[in-house]
Amino acid sequence: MLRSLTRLSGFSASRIGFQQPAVARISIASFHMGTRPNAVSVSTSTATSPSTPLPPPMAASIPKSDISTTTANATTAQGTDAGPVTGASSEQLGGEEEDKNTQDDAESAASGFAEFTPVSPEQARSLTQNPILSQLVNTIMKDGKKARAQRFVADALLEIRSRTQSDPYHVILDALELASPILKLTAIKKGSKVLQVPTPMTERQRRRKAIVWILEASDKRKGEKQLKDRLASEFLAVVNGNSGALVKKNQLHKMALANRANASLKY
Amino acid sequence: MAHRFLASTPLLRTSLSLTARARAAVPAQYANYVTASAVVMAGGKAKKAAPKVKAQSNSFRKKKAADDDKGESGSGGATRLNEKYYKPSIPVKVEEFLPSTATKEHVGQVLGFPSTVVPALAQTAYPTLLNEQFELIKPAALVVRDSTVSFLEKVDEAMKTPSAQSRIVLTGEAGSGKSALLLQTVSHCLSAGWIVIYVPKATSWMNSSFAYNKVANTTSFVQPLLASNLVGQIQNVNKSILDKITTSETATVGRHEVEKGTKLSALLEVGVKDQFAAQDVMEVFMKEIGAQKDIPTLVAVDEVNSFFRPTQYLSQDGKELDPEHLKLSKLFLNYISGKSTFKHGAIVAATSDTLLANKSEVLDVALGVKEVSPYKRLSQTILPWTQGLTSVEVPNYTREEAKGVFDYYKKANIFFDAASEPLFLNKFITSNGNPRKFFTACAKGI
Repeated sequence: MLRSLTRLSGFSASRIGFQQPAVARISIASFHMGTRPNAVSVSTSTATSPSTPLPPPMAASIPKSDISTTTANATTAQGTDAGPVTGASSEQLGGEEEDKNTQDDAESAASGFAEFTPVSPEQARSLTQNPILSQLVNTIMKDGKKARAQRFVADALLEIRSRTQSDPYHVILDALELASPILKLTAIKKGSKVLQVPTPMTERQRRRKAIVWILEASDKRKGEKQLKDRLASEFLAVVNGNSGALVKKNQLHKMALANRANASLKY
Repeated sequence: MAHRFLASTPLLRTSLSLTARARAAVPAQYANYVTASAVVMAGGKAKKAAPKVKAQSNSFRKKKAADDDKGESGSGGATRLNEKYYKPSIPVKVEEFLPSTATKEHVGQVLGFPSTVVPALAQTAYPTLLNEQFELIKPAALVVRDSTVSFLEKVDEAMKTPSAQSRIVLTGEAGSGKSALLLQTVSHCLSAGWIVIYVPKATSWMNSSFAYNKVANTTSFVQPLLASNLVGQIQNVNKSILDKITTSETATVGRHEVEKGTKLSALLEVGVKDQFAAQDVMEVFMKEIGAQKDIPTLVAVDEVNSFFRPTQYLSQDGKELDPEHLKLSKLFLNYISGKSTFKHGAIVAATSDTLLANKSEVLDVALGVKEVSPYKRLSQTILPWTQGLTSVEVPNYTREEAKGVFDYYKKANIFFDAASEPLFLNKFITSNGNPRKFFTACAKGI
């Protein structure tokens, strides 16, 4: 997988037929990795020396996301405010938050979805600043109607919150992670045969695939007319383990496993 | 005999397969005939799910509304929900909004409706957009504002004066808290022991959603079901108080005779049971409560702008009716305009900007909210009803009030960002303190 990643970075440049300027390459890389443009040292090493194995995405040098800490503060604050009646549940919440923090740390090494260092803490769930939410908004947007798409996402988030009484942002992160495939199948012609070669995807590509599948699955929902209801139901279905998006992901993974021999082919 | 049907042209023209056509060709009385062998076979095949033969019909097929096979939990009976995210809803702890707590010291605090008042408020629906907020955060609670405290003082002063002197209309921009202030007034008066007649959606009286009948030999129309519903609501809200008041003379309501000395709750019962007597019941009821001085009356009408514009009902000539042509609306218009009065009480109304089509230019001009060219012709039939109304403007949140609401939203887990001062400022400034926009900014982030 790492080898295929390195091959991808070298291959795509020659395939496209022009060398992207170093600055642009750095900025694109830093966007995907969620770092600020100042953190050049990490990205230049990946861009200019493909032979060395890449560090896993979202290297540990990036500070931990503020989101989990703020929610931990929020729950402790809530615990003191609410009083004895809700004390038990807030302890549970606090415990769950701690588990989530450690889980996030473990997960952040594997995938970058939870890893977003906001410029300021109040921008953590902003529809315009948060790259994950803004990608979701942009994927839903049609004909340039961004405000409409933002309304859909905001309403869906509120709907998730009212059904689960928990942070909808984390539900969305979890759902996107669960539904995103780790590679795609590229068709190449070897002689006369068309072979499917599993190739890796960038974080953004993976996320987009997950969003598109979730949107398609939500369109098939009967009984719920509005997009916000369907979208909320679909995110929750993914998180609960039964959604058309998960089925598609598993199918793709199976096909990739079947064609794993082709991964070592040179083309 | 079947072959004659098979060969017939209508069937040939269909797109059915041969087997389907054969089945369809069999006349009904033969199709349903069950032989003994069929019964025996059915016993053996009981476990196999037999596929139904559905002849393709071109008629409109109703879609099942309750098609909950694939809910968010899953198909079939086994529902596995991710416990990490599904948490029980914990109602927010708030103090009660009582006459003792609606004071300057509590400005900025969010207080919930008292437990004695909530069943009364449940008789009528909450205003539409407020209801969305109350559905989201339970229990229903509103913030005590400067305008609340000053307005409730005004209402308390009106307790000992005739209602014709206290006819107040709450005005302000869209989402500024007019309906909320009206709700707080209703709650305050219910706690204080007033008789309260609360109409949350006056638009539903005028938008032809209730049946109407013409009264013989007059130009008026009666809405029996609406009157009956209203009578029932008033009775449920004020039951204990109305037991103390009795009618002062015999009255004829519809086909019934109501003797002198009957309790007002019994009088209202007549209107609940017989909708065609309900209009007369309302008129007698309003007269009786207006005549007594012991218990003050509050008439609270939301979306009052629909009282001052043509209704969506049509007369027999096809012309739009004015509210004064509907007997129930005219009864209320008399009290709103001061033509009739309660000996002790107040009339409080609130305008609504929810639907642009419902705006009443006449009312806006009369209250001084809007200015039009003096050459513009305003409806001369509606204008006289607006004389003598006082306007109270409901402003946007002050910073203190907004901070209290912000803390309440954080406690209620409406948003999950850290409740920091920059975040509060962000929401407050972008919404300009407008309560509805502030809620949208906090809850949705847009």
